[in-house]
Amino acid sequence: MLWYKAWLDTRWRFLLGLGLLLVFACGTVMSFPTVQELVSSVSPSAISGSEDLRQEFEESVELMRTFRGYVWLQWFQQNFSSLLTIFAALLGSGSPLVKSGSGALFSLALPVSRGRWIAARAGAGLAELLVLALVPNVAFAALAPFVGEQLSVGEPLVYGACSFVGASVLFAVAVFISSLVNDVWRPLLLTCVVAVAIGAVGLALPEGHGLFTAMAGGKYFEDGSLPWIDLLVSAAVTAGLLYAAAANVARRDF
Amino acid sequence: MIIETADVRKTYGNVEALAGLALRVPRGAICGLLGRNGAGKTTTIKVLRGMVRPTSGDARVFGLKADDSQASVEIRSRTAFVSEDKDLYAGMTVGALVRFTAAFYPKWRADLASTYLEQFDLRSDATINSLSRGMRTKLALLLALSTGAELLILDEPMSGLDPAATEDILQILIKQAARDGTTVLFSSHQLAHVEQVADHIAIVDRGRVVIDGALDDIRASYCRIQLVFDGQAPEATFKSHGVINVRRQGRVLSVLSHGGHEGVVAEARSLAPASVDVHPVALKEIFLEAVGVEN
Repeated sequence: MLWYKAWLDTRWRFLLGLGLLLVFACGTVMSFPTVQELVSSVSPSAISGSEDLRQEFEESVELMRTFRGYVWLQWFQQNFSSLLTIFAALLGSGSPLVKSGSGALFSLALPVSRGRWIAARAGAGLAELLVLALVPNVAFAALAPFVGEQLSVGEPLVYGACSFVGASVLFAVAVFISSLVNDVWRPLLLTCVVAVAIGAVGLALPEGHGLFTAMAGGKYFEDGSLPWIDLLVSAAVTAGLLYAAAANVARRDF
Repeated sequence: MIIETADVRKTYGNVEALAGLALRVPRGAICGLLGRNGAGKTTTIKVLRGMVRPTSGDARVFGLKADDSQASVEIRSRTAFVSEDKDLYAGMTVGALVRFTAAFYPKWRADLASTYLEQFDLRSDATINSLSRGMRTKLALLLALSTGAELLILDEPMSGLDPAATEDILQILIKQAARDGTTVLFSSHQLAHVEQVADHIAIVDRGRVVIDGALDDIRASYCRIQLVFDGQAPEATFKSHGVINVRRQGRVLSVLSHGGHEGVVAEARSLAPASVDVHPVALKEIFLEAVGVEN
């Protein structure tokens, strides 16, 4: 029943996220022929600027010449990471016990420990996040033939799994902030601020490391290996934040 | 005792919500919890429900410590609660909320739930946010009454109900307490409701229980002695034990007494009044006296 309640609390956010991600994923696939035309018409020499910028542009253009490279660069490294971050923050925002006027007192009156409430909400939220991280990516394999391409189902799912582990950190940040405040919007906004800060910190880390780098699964794209250290650190941070959120709720007065 | 608290204190910053609360509610009692706004009634209930942890002191329900997380779950499994704002899950339908709540209580009384759904005119397919405040109150009471709980804790249960519905609910409470031996603790500002159903009361003021016990005993221990004089009533100071206040108005001298009025009556007769009458005191007067408000 706690799972059912958690589902009722988050279903619209989840369904909105699933719908939008599916639409964007399909849109990304169907845009491939147009992008191909664009890429073939662009000459790298037309780019003015530093050598680094020119090199980066050339690498991007080169990647987008193949469907696999286009999907990774356009979707997993850019749009999907950003969208999943937003939906992770949205799914984690708003504790079942502290949002006033939504039956929080009724929940607290039931013979259920506060820890179980938070565990059910976190479990349901992570399950929804996993679906958001995996299901839209099936579209790439399913729709690839429509643009005359092929892509295995497995590869987008691996990127999706990496994105899930990374986005779980931001989900847990939202759950943690929600254990301290009484509304949905502050956790959502603060989590987005934290995401920007994590992105900025990532720029200072050695190349190939950082939360968003791990989410994009670039290492897997390049050499087929997974960024295990980053993924394990992310999972540990997620667990720590969820534990801290449960401890916060356990000692709070309502 | 089902509920027993000793020297319970709760502070929020500089505000002392409970200042040494000592409350005792015996098994099977219907206990009215009275007090002015901000006296500490809701905080008392929240402490008993484990929603608020006391700063110090001991609060027990069924002999279990209310501030212990595990014990609190056990307490809540044997207790039903209706909050002051009847905070329910707005998006659920009535039927879904009844099924949801039933899943948490092994002694759930499906027969009572069906009876009250019909009696309160609650449609199973109506969503909670479409219900009026009065109907939400009825639904909250239905859920509480159907849990099969040994203890009902109701915070302002009649708020939002019309007089007819209030009367229905009061009768249901009395019936349930009599039939199942359920203990009821309810807070209310409506002294008439308390007098109608409660057999025990506890009056809370400034975070402390100032009067508690069986309502009949409390009423019997208070009386107003009215002395009528032929002329202007004299200014008098009573030395007898138990005199709470003395009021003089024209030919009448009125003495409020607590804990045995024989001595006061004897002292009153020595003033040679034209008549001396002893009147029972209404709960309202006891309440106002207890919370220090001039009637």
